[in-house]
Amino acid sequence: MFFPLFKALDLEGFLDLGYIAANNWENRESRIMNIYALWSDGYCWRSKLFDVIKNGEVLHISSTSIKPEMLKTGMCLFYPTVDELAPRLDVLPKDPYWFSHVPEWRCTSGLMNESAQTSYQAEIYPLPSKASMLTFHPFIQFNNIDNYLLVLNVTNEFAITSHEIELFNSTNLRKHGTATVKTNSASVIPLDEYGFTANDLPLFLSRKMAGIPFGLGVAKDGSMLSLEHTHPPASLVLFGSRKEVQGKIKKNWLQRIGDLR
Amino acid sequence: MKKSDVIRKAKYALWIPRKITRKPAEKGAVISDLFPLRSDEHWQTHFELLNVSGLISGDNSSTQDKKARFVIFDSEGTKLAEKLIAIPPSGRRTIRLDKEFDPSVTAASSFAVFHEIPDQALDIGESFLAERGYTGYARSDSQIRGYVHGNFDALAYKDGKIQTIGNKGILPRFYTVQHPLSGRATYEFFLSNPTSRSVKVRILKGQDGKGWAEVERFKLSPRGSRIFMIESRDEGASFIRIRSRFYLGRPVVFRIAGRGFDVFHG
Repeated sequence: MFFPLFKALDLEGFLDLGYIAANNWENRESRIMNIYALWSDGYCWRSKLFDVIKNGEVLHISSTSIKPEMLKTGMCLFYPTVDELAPRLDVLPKDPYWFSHVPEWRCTSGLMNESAQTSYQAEIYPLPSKASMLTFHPFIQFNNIDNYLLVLNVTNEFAITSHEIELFNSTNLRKHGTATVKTNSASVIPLDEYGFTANDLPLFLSRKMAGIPFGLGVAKDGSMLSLEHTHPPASLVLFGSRKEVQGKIKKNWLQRIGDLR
Repeated sequence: MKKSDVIRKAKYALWIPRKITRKPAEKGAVISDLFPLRSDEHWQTHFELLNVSGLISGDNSSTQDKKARFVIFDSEGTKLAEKLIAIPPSGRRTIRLDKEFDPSVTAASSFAVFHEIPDQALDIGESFLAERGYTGYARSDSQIRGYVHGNFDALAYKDGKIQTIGNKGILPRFYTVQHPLSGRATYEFFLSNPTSRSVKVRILKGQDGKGWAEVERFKLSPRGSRIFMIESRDEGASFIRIRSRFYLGRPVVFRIAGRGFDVFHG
């Protein structure tokens, strides 16, 4: 499990990493941890010992405090470990030292400017390198705001590959356009140029890359930022075979979109 | 493993229920989160109403006669009002709660959204349709809305009956909000009770090297909810810990600073 620091537009990225478990029964880890920064340069995973952290401490990391090359893809991962990592890795390390399930062990990851900040409780697991993403996006706002889609992707492999994301109106399936997203990166797509209206529910489909999609809103005067991720389709139901239902939902939509291509 | 760890693990293995949420008693029930409702001179609450059954079936254009039941509750969990709102044919309708529920909204603290399942059964097997929601909050001086998705599944609805589906254990436990409070800001934490019994809650604040100190305690009725406030100053990071019998006592957090604010689930 990794903690993402990402950067978008001219906003500063930040990460507050607390060495404090969310609950008092799952993980009682208290050893001093090495905090490694990990980023892909397209040829391998690069790693660098960023800091060490003691139990109970908080580490505040800013995109302005790390070298630009570490954020060339828009995203740098942070990983707590008691081990030492080689400076170049073929795949991401696997051993989790901070983990819990109720809830997941998370950090605060977000974006800020001089006036405002926005964040979410973040953790990120590597996604399959061959997967897809289908998401509905109800976050576009109008008046005094710029809207973006932010997609985070991490895979175990270091390759940075580009993929197409298609933008549809989910009701009439009119295609509003396409954009590009990348693996092991934070991809930012300006949404205002695609012509969605206040009552449209956009559907975004990436057929060859999974990702975590966010709506990012930036007030034109900079006084407020908004960031939230959408749920995967499986969250439309609870209990039973959610994975199976998620498969059916994706199949239903792909069939309809495919029929109209 | 130390003896104390063995005892701790045995204790929780015995007493902690395995699931955060219980399966609804009635087949065909629909599930909703208990969303924070903020409506006063400072706040507005908006909800993004989507065609959830259409999103499941893969046809978002089919909305004929589909409705969602909005129910608002006060801080004691008492139902104040409910209203059926038509699912929009266009895919998305932003519902402003104060407009829909004037004047009862002034006493409201939370709301739930239960979708009506269409006549033709959805192909979801043994699963239950759930509204995990996207709620947008705006302050009177903010230019835009801050969004947060549902925190956890709380209520099930079938044939006019609302069931709480949250679990709690016999032993109290801690939930530490993983966001460190920092900078000059006002933090407001919304905590709800998704269980069928009243739950005592203690709020503790911890700061580096100073241990944990109780800042507030209260009791939450079933479906009840409460906002507690913590001021943060430039004095290093601090944490909030919630001691209760909730299996997951996770709040929604509002961080207010300057003209803007941030909202997220803790």
